[in-house]
Amino acid sequence: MRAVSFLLLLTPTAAMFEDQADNIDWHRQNLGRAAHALFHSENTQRLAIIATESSVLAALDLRSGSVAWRQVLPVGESVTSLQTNGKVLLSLSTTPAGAFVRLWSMRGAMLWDALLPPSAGAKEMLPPDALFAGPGVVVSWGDSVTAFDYNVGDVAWRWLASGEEVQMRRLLLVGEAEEQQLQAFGVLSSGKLLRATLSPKDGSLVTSKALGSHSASDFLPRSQMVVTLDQASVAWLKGTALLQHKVGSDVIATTQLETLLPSLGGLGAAQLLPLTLPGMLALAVPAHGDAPAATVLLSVTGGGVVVADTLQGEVQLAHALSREGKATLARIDGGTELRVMAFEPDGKASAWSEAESLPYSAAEHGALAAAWLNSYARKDGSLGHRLLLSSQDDALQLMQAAKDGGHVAWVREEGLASVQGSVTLVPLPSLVTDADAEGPPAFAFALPGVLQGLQRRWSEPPPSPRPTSRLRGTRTRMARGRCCSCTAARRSLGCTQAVASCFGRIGWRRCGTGHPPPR
Amino acid sequence: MEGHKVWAIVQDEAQLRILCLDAHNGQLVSESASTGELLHVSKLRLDDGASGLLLFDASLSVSLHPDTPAMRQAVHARLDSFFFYLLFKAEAAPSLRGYSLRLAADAGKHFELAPRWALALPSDVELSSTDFPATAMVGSPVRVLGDRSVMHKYVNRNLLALGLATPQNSSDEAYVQVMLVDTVSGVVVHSARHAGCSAPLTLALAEHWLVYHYWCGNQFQYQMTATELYANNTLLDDPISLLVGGPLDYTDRANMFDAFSPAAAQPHVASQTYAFGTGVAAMAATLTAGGLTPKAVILATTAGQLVTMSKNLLDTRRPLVHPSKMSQQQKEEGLVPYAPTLGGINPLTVLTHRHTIARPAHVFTAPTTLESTSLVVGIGLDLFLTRTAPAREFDRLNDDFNHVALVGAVAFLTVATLASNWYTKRRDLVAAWK
Repeated sequence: MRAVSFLLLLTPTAAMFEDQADNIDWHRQNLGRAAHALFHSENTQRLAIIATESSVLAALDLRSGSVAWRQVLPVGESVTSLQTNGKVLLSLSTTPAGAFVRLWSMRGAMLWDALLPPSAGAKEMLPPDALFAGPGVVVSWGDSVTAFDYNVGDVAWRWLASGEEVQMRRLLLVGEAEEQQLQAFGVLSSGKLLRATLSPKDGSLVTSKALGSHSASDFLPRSQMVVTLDQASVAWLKGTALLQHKVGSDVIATTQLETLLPSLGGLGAAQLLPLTLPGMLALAVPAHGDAPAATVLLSVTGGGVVVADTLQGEVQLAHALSREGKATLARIDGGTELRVMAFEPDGKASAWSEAESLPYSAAEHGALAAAWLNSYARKDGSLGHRLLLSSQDDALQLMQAAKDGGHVAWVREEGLASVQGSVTLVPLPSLVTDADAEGPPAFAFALPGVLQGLQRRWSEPPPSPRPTSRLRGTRTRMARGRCCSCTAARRSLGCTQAVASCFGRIGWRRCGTGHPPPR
Repeated sequence: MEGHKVWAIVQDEAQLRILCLDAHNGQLVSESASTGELLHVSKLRLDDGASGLLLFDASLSVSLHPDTPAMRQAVHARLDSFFFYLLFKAEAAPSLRGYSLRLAADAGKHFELAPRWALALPSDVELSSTDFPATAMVGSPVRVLGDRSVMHKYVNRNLLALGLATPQNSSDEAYVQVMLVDTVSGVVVHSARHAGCSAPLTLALAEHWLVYHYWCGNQFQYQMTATELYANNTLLDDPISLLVGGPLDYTDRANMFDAFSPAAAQPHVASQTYAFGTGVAAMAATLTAGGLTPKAVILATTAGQLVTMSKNLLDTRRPLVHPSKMSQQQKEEGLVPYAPTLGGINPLTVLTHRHTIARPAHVFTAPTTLESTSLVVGIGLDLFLTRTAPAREFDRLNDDFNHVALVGAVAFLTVATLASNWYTKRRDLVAAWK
């Protein structure tokens, strides 16, 4: 056995020297196309926390776009919701095995997770909903509402709908602090809306009632069930009918979109946008025939449904909620113009603000896929707006809007997160003279570079004699670790095209690599 | 890829677009569009150095890009030597099908595909496949043994390694089957079946050997099998011709590998299996400029690390003897005694060092201009590129090589030579005057 060990030691190793780490290799962390995002600030840290279609949860530093932390969820999971209460992060994801509820610290550590099994006999499961209720997390999924202990993730209580098949869709917390009640809304197989009122402390059923008189064909409406910010009404679509339930009553009002929006076509494919606005709903109507796509804002404050505004063309909407409870709605026209509508705490909406231009390049990134708004107070008291934009090429970018043109803070190209096919390695020109050369670069082309290298070597500051003389020739082989000072110097250069020297544990080393810096 | 240009084929629902991009800056050089559903595309290099594309659509008709007289003439001249294979994985009845090219009966078209052979595959298994890149170099056609005899490598560039593995949670009888199929003749050159084993199965094919990794549920461990193929004749070349005409010119087409010869279907196969400590998501063999450098197998572990493993450890000639009883010839050949397990992963062989590749899915290798060095790309959710030298960097000076001392020594020796020459001549002259 000793001989075997000895022979194994004779085999060449691929280890590198410590100072070669990140110098002869590069690594790029990808996230995928952003599907959900929220903003978080703590002390001096500003983060955008995103969940992607590739089942990755990550926090990005808003200043640089770099990954503060990343959690890669198992393949096949689909993150359906991301929420925060300012202290912890809650993610909901679905798999064929069930729905995962995970609570994360804002620094990316998973505090606990729990698996909710799918309802027995259910043909199709719709995304779960959750909210923070007192010291617990309440999740509705399938035919159950489950509360988890906030600290350890144990099941505190569970309520199961009995009788008719039901798909729970939304949760609401209504009432004052001491008398809060949990209202869970679901759709029964008969097409009626089930409203179950539960005690958030122990899950005991207070009341349960089936509302409405719809046919079974209403079961499992694919549309979002949207709740207004003031929690006054719950709305969803059934075909071209907008169904609206006024919370606290037993009434379900039906409004036909054809009568409300007679000038628009394609209402059968309209979708309610998942925006939480005070007394307002947003409806996206796709292009139909000659009629262009439109986004319609519907006011639902006065009992009925009134068209507040109709936005023609490709418009992206994003909303934000300040710490004071003031809501802001932003519209992005064609990816290049930003207008903002502010809501007072009483729900009164202002007019659209003046257009601020966005330096978004549709030619480079394609059409906008999604937008998330981050409003902040400027020193002069006015509101500033940042936008996190996800585009058709999977790129994610942070854009600062301004009347004088704004600027792009950073762009993360995420298209390479889903490489499926083959890879072709192309020899890039190491020198300008190679750019036009066919075939592999010849030594003659490299000669100027050699001369430049010699010249640079002479012009470099001489290495410190003490550590170099002591450590030269005694570099230890390593498989892990890095030259921190080299990496830091490279990062400080911003681009690795420049060649710098830095002093590390092994003396002076050149840090230039000539390849793009890993993100 | 042609020069610094890369072809990109974009298949929309009803439209086919062929983009030509500059590989250095991504600029669009040219673009053309057509209709149809693309089945396969193959690049054809013309005699004048240019290249074109052969596009096969679902109706098995062939179109050329660019469709020029020179291109048509080049294809026409090589009709007898064009063979293609298509692996239909996603269909209800998976199959591997071989085609050749022939002149089209339809007057409107020039060429069409002619089905030659087909291999029906089971539908309830996971299929995987790999091949040896056509441009990869083979350093030597023989392997020299310790007794100075040689074994001729069975290097068949038309081989496709096809893996069939039952899913892990399948209720059917579990098995892993690996086939080496000659994609020109359709002959199954080698087939091995491992009962009680299942997916995930990963394969790597290079030169004359195949390495594959799979889960063995019977023994509750991952296993790696190495298979080497040798030509079944130690005297391949006609001895009289060798004596009279000297060694064969293998660049001559007449002396190249013939897929239709009887010997092509009957290689000598040797295999060994070892236990391995971790799951592997993808594998590849290192490629070098001349193929002379000993090979290494790059493993992308399911944990997201790239590990390099010397091919010496996956050598089917590892002797089944105690290390103390190895013969002198075996030692000279550099063989490592067989052990049932490849052991754990040596941290010194982890190429990714402190990095992790999330969800590793592919490993690609490519040669560099230095023979010792191969590029390795690991692809998954993350990307990682590094270079590796399986036999150390014998053709590269270290970064800290003392160039000044070398130049100084050469300069000193030059001066010393000239000075001693001058001194010798002067001494002889002085001696002559005495």
